[in-house]
Amino acid sequence: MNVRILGVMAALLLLTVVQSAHAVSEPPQSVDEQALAILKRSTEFIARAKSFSFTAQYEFDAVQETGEKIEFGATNKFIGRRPDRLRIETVRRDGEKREVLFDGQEIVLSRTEEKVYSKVRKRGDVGQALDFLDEEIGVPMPLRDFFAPDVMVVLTEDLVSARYGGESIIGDIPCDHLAFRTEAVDYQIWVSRGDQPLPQRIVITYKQEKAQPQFRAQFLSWDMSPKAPDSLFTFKPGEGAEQIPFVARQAAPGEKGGEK
Amino acid sequence: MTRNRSVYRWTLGFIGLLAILMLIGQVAEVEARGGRGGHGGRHGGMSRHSPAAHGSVRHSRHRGYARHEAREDRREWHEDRWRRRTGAVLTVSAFGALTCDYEEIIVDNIIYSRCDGNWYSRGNQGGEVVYIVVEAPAGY
Repeated sequence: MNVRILGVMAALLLLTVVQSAHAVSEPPQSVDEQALAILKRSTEFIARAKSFSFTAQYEFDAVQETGEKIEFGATNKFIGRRPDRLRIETVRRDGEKREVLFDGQEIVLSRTEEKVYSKVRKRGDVGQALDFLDEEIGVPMPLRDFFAPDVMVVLTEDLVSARYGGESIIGDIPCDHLAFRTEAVDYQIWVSRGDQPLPQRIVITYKQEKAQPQFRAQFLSWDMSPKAPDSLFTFKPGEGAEQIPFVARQAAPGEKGGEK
Repeated sequence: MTRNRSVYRWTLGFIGLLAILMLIGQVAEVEARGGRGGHGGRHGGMSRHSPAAHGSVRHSRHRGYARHEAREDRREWHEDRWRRRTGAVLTVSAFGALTCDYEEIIVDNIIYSRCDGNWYSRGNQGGEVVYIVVEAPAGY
């Protein structure tokens, strides 16, 4: 009797150990060619468009020091003309507004309500400007991956698996549901079916980060031939607007350094 | 029979000890998470800081542009007179919480604020307006 109880307990213990070991090592997964082909078709379609506009409603998790996940969000209106004109109007959920303008020569970040703007010289195309602003200046530029010059390399680097999830309806648009895993992140993209294969939704899970925060965005009102005159991308400071510097992110010892 | 009972007791004792150790570990983890103080003055104490804010699958692994291009841009940006290299940075709400009768002056279209002997002007850090400690403007 006692031996039987002992046996059951030992088996339970063994099961726990085996399960935790299993959770650490991920089983090898496969790459579905159909999923990759749909992704490639979509990115090529965006890259071919001479001009584009869309609205993205997005939100992201910020993991607090207590471990609590708090959601923040914003709406971004993108309008661009290849190769080197871009305007992004952002309205955050807390009401803050800002505009980013790029005219092929410089990037301007303007906060009209606070009457301030910052400028930095940058030549290159739309994707390079977004990467520079995010990686060098430290201003988060969500969804810039779709405008990277080497977009498929960006989206499939260190790919662990690609899966095709079948039809899925986003809003009222029939989409193909794709799921990818890389070493760093898991992400899902919903691409509309038909002759305009455009992303309608994306979810990115930062699985290596504490509490695995997510970024989620829904794309609304894609337009692949918007009116995009030069005046949209040229900055004219308003009356009494103050030019303020971009501040390098490094903080002095002992300083908190504000938000990134 | 007696030997069996002894083995049983020892095993039960071992499992009990294991359970206690795991419980202590969990409690310690919770305390460690809650123990550190939060930052003040940010959206009611909530921090927006998050890797997920960047909305990119490139998570500290793939730089968006060629290295030589990055070097060139960085050189230009480091020489830019509008780039401020600074240590002390205050969020707008932290600046607002300073208790002093500060005065504002405008020099070359830049607003300077003086508070408790420090001079501040505004900057943009990561898309956010911040107050930075600066040298006194010429003549002050």
